[in-house]
Amino acid sequence: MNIKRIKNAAGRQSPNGYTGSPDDSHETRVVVGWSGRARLIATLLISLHLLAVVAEPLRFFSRSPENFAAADTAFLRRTLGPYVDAMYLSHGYFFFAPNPGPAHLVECQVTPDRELASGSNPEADKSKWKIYPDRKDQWPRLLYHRHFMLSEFYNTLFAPTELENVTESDQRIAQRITDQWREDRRIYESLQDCVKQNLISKYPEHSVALKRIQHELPNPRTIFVDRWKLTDPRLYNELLEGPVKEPSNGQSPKQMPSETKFPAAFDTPANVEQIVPQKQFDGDAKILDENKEQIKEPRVVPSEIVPSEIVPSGNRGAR
Amino acid sequence: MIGKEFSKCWNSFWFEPSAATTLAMIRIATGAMLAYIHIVWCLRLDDFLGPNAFTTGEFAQSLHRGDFAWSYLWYIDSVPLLWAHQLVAIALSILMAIGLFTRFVIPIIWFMTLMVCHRMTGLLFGLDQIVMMVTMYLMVARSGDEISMDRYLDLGKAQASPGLNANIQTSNWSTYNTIAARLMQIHLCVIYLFGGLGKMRGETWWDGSAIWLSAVSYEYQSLDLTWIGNYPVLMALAAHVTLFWETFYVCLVWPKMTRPWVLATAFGVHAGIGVFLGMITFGWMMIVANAVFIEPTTMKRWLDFLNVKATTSR
Repeated sequence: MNIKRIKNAAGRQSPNGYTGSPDDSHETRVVVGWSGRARLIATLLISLHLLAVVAEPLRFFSRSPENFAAADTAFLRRTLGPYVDAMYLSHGYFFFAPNPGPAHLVECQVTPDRELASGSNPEADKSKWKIYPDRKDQWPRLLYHRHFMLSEFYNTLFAPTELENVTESDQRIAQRITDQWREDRRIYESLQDCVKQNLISKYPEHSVALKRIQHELPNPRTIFVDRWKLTDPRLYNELLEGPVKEPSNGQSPKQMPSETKFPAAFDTPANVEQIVPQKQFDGDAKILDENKEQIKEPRVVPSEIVPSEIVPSGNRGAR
Repeated sequence: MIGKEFSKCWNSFWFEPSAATTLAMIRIATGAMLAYIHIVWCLRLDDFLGPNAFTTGEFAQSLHRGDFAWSYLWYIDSVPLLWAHQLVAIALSILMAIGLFTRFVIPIIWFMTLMVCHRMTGLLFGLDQIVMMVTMYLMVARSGDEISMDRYLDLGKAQASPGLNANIQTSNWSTYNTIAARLMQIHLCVIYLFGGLGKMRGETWWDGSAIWLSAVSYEYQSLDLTWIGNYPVLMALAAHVTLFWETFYVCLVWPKMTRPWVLATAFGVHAGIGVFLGMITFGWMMIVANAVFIEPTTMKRWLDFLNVKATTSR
């Protein structure tokens, strides 16, 4: 390295002005220059690092329901895998993309074992029940957000209790679907056990049941005309754990809605059209349609919630 | 000829030494945020890292089976040890913020936080990605050369024994600063590019309803934004500005003419996310990361204006 002392090094400015400035003419500064060999080595390292930075988003972006990723991006990701994973660079960066979706909560029903044994109504005492996330219980906001991420993660890992109607004629693909479901289910159950164990450690001699809740996103009409609050109970739908029919479009079973009930939020009364001032809701019909579509094919979880690396491969096509 | 010109530009872009002023400010904000992040993990240490955590070490390990992520925290169940780990992390984050032993402290706190990230898979979000990204590049930089205790102590030493180190009195421009800043800038461009391209795939960003859907997401909401539903044009405009700004950030942030506008939009978007969508930490860190596009000389002028002179390089 070449170290030199520069006086009045004015006017040295890089193309975008980041380095050097005419204002520094009165300064004495120590400039540490790099030799050609050092620059060459640095160039190689920088190039490799930048390839690693784009490897995961490229792979993530080039995936499709049929393919894990395009061949070139999969190769890049695989080759740089050790570095990408170890350095925590495995992110798709799909913040709130492609569409903002409904939030997911986890309701934990904590019931004394003796109550269950006696057959009394466990709904009677909800004082020990927990909901994740819960603004009242989890403060400051970052703590709340960690619990929110947990509930979204729990929902993302969901795999149904059994797989029904694998209609795929190719035996190998059918087997792969079944194997994938089995692995997804194992991971989901592991997380379930962890969350239950966490609560049982706080409430010994209790049993814990977990429920997934989807908080639907209402349309403007529901808020402004029907006067629903965002916390209206009708916006919360329990998602079922049961079997899910295999999708016909090649999607992973995990992408299918686990709740068939059409949320009341979108069951807008027929006379609403007459009540709603048209100028206020120019885009409303579209939003309503969007939300209906969302029920058929739920909006996906924003990627900032769930880093791509932890989504089991069966669900990779979902986002 | 073209090769020579390219080589000249490349060298100028990556290897021309620069001052650490901007990176020092980023270091302060990031160190403080790291301390806060680790403090929040401590608020429910048992739930997050303990033997009965929401996601146990064994579970986290099983999620990473087949990849190359690793964390020693997968194997630690002892609560006192976990407390010790977190307290050290908080102390090092504070040292990073105040700039004491910066060259040693930043790599250690980066590594400790990395271990927490690999341990806490599933409970992380954009904040963790951005903080880790910024800290990683600060490891390369000499951000402790300015606005730091290191600098303050060096100046003190130099005043006590004139001639001990004449260089201390001068500003140390370093290629490491330039490389760190460039990497951070490009990484930020990658984040925005893919964020924008991802939104391009979503129809709600095109029909303008994405802003409404974000506004009525109660779990995110920190301030009521549903009033925006009364202004469809405003909603659609906000969605489209976000869409195009994010996608074209990679091109528009470099020319001097468009940079202030792009950075001002970044400030507006992330402040909005912070204030209305309850992600004040994430919004703040994105603003901090965007500051890397502020030239060190400009940052120094601002600091001079604010009379923060004591430990800057002049």
